Amino acid sequence: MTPDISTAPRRRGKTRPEISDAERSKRRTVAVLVLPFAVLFVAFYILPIGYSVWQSLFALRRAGAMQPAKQVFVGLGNYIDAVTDAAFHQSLLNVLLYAIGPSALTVIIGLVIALIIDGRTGKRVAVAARAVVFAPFAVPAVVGAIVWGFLYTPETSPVVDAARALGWSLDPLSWSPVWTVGNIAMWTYIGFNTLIFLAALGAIDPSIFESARIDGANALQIAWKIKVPLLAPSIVLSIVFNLIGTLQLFTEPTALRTLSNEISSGWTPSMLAYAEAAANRYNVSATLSTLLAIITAVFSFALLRLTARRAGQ
Amino acid sequence: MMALRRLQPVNTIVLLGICAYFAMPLWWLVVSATKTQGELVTDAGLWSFSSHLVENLARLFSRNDGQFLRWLFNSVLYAGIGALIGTLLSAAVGYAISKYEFPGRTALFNTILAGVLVPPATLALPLFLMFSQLGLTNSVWSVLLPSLISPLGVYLARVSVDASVPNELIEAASIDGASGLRIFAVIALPLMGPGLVTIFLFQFVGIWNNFLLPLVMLNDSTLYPVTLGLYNWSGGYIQDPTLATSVLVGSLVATLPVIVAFVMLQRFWNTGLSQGAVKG
Repeated sequence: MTPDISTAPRRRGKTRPEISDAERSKRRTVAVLVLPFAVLFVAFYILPIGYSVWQSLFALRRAGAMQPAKQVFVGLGNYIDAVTDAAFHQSLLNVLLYAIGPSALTVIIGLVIALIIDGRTGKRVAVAARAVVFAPFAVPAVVGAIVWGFLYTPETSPVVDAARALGWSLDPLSWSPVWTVGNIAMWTYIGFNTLIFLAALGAIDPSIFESARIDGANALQIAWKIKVPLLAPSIVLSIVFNLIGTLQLFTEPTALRTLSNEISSGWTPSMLAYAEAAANRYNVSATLSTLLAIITAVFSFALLRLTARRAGQ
Repeated sequence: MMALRRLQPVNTIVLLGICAYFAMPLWWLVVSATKTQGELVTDAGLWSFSSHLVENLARLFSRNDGQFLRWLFNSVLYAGIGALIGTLLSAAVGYAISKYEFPGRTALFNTILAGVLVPPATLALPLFLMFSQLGLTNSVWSVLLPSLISPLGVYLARVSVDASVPNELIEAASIDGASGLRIFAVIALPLMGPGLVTIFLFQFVGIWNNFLLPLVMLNDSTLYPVTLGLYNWSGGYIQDPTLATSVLVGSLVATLPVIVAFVMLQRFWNTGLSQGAVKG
């Protein structure tokens, strides 16, 4: 995934016993540096995934009505149940709509804001605007959902009040969760995308813009024809991050659920997996978790591979 | 240049509109924190400050025998200790991967990087089952231990070591007879300073804002972090309307530490970016 850029010191022209001595102490050092993390990584990343896959291969079955339930090996049976399950389809459809709606807008608006900030001649306003746009990223997702929940509720919302004064009557809580949840996530994550794009724009040699300007290009042409194509790798990275975030969507819809009847307990795949676990159907939950991980991995690798090939041409 | 000048006022107006959207909810939170329960409904304006902030804070911290303070303390514990140990662990691995050749080095790095892509739900639910078999759910450990690991932290640590710890320095110290671990602790760690702060703050904010893992692991409300506590309160407006003001003031209090952390982070980024500009 990343180029190997190690520049470890080379040992050359030493005699044999020295090498084995140095080797031994080097091995000890590497072990002490790597093992604590590696052990925890195996325990809290690799094992849970393995355990999840293992659990997904079993199901609780009863031999008769009065018999205790037993774990029975069912192979891929849970997966066949899951991919034919209407609730799972619905949750996937929800995140698909979310991906082509709010998630795509997060990248696009984040890019537009970065271009606007980058196009400024003064520095002070640019720095202040960047800070304001990025601030929501620090806000806990639960708090973001609580605050927007109040802003969606007609009785407590100055936004709904202002709209009413203009003759619109709004009831955001009755809108599709794709957009009520989507707005919270867009508010939180657009600034992060803007920051990625601004960092990439800062790395471009400014003499390119200078020569384009001398050739008569205006600010909009420079933004659209020069900056955006040069940002292509960052845009793909942003899309991958947003896609992963979309597939994992959990906290915002769960927190908003206390206010909105539009959000079901299994509205996203992650919520569905949690609901199944909460109902003690661990095998089903493990199956959904595993499927979610597979879908995430396939999408991320496909996108990264696709763009790597493009860049190679 | 002409075109750019003409665009500047348009640019400013658009930018102000954008900033208004991003600032409005937090501004509303600050204004609302000063209001009584009744004023939240009768006077929902964005500019109508009231005078009940101190009273609201007092009610927040005294509610249910100081439950909120307990949650804040838990969050500081989980995020502070988790990020501190986590940063050291990430720094050690990042340093080893950057400066030593050992079998499986590339595979180790790629596996850790792939960890960034793993959905939290995929980990949290089986982690719950594993911890429950050890009888460790509903404990400090069930939230703290899994939070120690940050794949992103390892990546950032490696980049930081590559950029700021010269091989010559390691070789020189090694010739002077310093052990590998001593070189890491005394020479490499201080040189990684800004990188370590970035890793720490990212992990701190990540743990502070985490919701799914504590939701899955914890039953006992005295162990809740502040996010989970606020979520629980926010489900109870209907039974107890006075909870609304406490949830809002509590949201403000819970957000301040992460805002401060990110302001510090941006300052570090600014210096980092400008250094890059000078060198590049």
